Order: sequence, then C-alpha cells, then structure tokens
Amino acid sequence: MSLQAQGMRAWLLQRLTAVYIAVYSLSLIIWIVVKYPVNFETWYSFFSQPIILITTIIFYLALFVHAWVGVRDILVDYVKPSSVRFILLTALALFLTVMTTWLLLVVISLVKV
Amino acid sequence: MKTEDNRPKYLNLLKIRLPITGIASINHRLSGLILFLFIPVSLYLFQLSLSSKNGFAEMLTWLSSPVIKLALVVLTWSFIHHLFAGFRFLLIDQNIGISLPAARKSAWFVVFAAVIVTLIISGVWIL
Repeated sequence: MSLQAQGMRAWLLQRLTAVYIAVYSLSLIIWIVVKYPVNFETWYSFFSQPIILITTIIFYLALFVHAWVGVRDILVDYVKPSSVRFILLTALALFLTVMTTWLLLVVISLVKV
Repeated sequence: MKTEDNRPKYLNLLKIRLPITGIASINHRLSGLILFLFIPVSLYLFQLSLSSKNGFAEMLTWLSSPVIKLALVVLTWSFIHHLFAGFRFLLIDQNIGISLPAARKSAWFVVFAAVIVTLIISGVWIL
C-alpha cells in the first residue's frame, strides 16, 4: 500500500471508529441515567446479554484503533528523534496489545459463568 | 531575489497566541491524550464492577472519593470536549462550516460549550 493510501486508511479508520465510540458511549450514558441508580444485578445482567457484550467488545476495539491513530499522530508531530519515536510507538503498540488481552480476559470471565 | 527572512521566530509556547480554532484543536489533542490514559482505569473498573456484588460496591466507593471526583471532572471535560470538537471536525470534513468566520464561531462554541456542560454535569452529578 502506498504511503498516501496508508494515510487515507488511518484518516478513514479514525472517523469510522469515532462515530462508533460516540454512539456507544452516549447510549451507555443514557442507559445509566434512565436506570439510575444502577445496582449490581441490573449492571451484571445488562452486560451478560450477548448483544451488549459484543457491542462492548467492538467499542473497546474501536477505542484501541482510535487511540493508536490519535496517539501516533501526536508522537509523530512532537517527538522528532526517530529512535525515541520508534521506542514510544512500540510501547504504544505493546500497551494496546496488553489492553486487548485484558479485555478478552474480562469477557471470557463473563461468558464462563 | 531577496531571501532573507525577518519574520520573528517564537518557540516560547507562552508567547504564542493561538487563534480560537487552534485552541479547539490543541484541546482536542490534550483531551484525547487524557482519555487514552484513562483506558486501563476504565478496564479495571469494568472488571471490578462485574466481578461480584462486593466488587461493584467497591467501585462505587472508589468513584466517590474526593480525589477521584476531581479526576472525574477532568475526565468529563475531556470526553465532552473531544466529542464536540470531534463532531465539529466531522462536519468540516463534509465541507460544512469551512469558511473562516464559520470555523471561528464553531470553535468558540465547542470550547465554551464543553466547559459549560462539564460544569453542569459536575454540579449535578459528580460533586
């Protein structure tokens, strides 16, 4: 893929994930406000529903992609020495991989019960 | 041909006066970075809140401590500003409001609306 196409893909991904993140978070906030105050049973049964679990997984994955593009933009703009930039980008990728693993562990613990 | 550049160079950030569109933009980055740092906290709270009845109660206690409440105000501003400014950028992508006066006006709106909504939410819900 050409550099231009890569930039275009990042641009598009950033916007698609932005819309999903916005819709998911606002929906969840509205749900909390409507059900307020939420107790454990309501909260737990809500997130145990397959559709909510799946949309939540997609939310976090969209968030990780969005964070990757966004933080990468910041690093590329402000961190000039290429070695430091490389180390920070690697750290970012590693961090998001750990977050993804953590998310999957939380999801697995919910599905097993 | 004269190539000499006499324009002043300011690298002192405190001396650089950003236009309102620039403030909306840099705040978008700053708020994005804050939200990014909150990712592990959100996962921790998500896990804790679903672990057990005690875990859920523990999360609520944690959320109601004064220091965390202050952090929640910052987080609320970050979310609201990032949302509003992001929506503004999506409109600008669609060539909506790209004239300089319109872009300035929407930037003023985003910057101030974010602060006002944050104050309202903080007053009603967090504090």
